[in-house]
Amino acid sequence: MAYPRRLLPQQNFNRIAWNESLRNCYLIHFTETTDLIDPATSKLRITLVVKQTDHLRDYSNNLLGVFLVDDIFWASQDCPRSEYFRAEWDGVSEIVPPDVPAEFTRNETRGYFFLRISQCHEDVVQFQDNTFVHPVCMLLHTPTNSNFWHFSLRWFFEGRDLESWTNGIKRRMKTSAKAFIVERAFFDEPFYEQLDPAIYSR
Amino acid sequence: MSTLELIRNYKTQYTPMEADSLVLPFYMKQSPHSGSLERNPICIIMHSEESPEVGILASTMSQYFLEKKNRRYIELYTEFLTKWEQQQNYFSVFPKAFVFEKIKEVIDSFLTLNPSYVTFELTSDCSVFFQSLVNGYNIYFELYFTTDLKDGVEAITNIYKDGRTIFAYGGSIDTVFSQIDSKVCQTSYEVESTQSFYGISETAFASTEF
Repeated sequence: MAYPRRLLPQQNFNRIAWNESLRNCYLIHFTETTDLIDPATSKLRITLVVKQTDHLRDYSNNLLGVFLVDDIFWASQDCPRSEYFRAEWDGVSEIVPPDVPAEFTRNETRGYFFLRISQCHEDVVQFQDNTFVHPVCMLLHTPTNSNFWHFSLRWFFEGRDLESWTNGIKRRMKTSAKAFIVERAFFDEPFYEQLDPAIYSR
Repeated sequence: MSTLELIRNYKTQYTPMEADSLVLPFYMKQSPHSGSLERNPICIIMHSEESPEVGILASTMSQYFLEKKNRRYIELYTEFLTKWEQQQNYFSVFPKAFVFEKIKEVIDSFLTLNPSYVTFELTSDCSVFFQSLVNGYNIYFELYFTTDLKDGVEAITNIYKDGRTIFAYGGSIDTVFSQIDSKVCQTSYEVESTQSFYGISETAFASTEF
C-alpha cells in the first residue's frame, strides 16, 4: 500500500485561513491506545491528555474530509527524512511522497477520537479569580510536509499562546486545555464531507 | 443504638450480616417489611407507629458517611502512592513529605464534596490532575507544585456541566475547594441522603419478613 498522495501538500494549495465553513467540520486525533473511554464518566480518559501535556502548545489534529478516518493509522518511521516529514510545509514546495514502509507504515493499534470544530474554535474559559485570565482556543492550519490536513488547537490569552506565558497564567491555560480536551472529545465517527477546494486552492 | 447492637438485634437468616457491615436503619410507619441489599450497606426498615427517631438516624448516617469517606481516602491515597512510585521524578524539586501532605489535603477535600467518582494522574507539569463527578458536575482540578509561590502550590479548577464550562478559578487549596463547594455542593448531601433513604428502599430491596 502506498502513502496516499491526497494527504500531501500540492503546489497549487494555499494555507487555509479561518473560514466559517470549517465550523461544520471535525478533527480527528490519534492515541497510542484504543482504551479511550473512562466508563465512570463516558469521557476521554484523563491519562490520554496528561501524557500530551508537553504538546498542548500546539495540539495536533487532522481535518476530516480529504483526510479519512482510516488515514489515522499512517505513522512516520525513524528514518533520515522523519524530521522533514514532521516539519511545517513552506507553502510552495512540492513534496516527494514518503516511501512505505521505510518512511511511513501502518500502525493499526492506534486509537482515535474526534473533536467538533464548532465546539473548539474561539471557545473561552473565563477565570473568576483575581487574574481574570480567559484562555481562548483557536484552530490553526499547520500543514506538514507529509500531511496538508494537519491542524492545531492552540490556546491564547491577550494574543500570546500558553508557552509564552509564565507561572500562574500558564498554569491556568494548561489546566483549561486539559479539561477542554477531555470534555470535548467524542468517539462515534461523525458524518463528514470534504472542504470546498476553492478554500485551499490557488 | 450502635451499629454492632443493630447487627446483633436484627440479624436473621434472611438478613445475614457480618460484623463490619454498614447499617442504615429505616423507620417507616405501617410497614412490616425489612430487607437487605445484596452487598453492603445493609438497610433495615423497622415498623413504627411513632415518629422516626431522628437522633439515632442522623448519627448512624453520619457514621456511614464517615466510614465511606475513610475507605475512599485509603483507596485514593494508596493509588497515589502507586503512581508516585512510577512518576516521582516529576516532583524531584520538592520534598516528598511536602508533596504527600498536599495530596492528602486535596484527597480529603475532594471526599468532603461527597463525589461519585474521583480519578487523577501525575503530570510532567509537576502537578496532579484530578477529575471528579459531584452532583452531575464534572470537576477538573490541578494541583501544581511550584517555587514561584510562597505556599509552594497552586490549585486550579475548571467545572463543567452538560459540556459547558460554568466556573474556573485558581488559588490556594482551601480557597479553590471553598469556591467549588459553593458552586456544586449546595445540595450534595441532601441528594445523597435522599437517594440512600428512598431510592434504595424502593428499588434495591429483596423484601423479607422478620
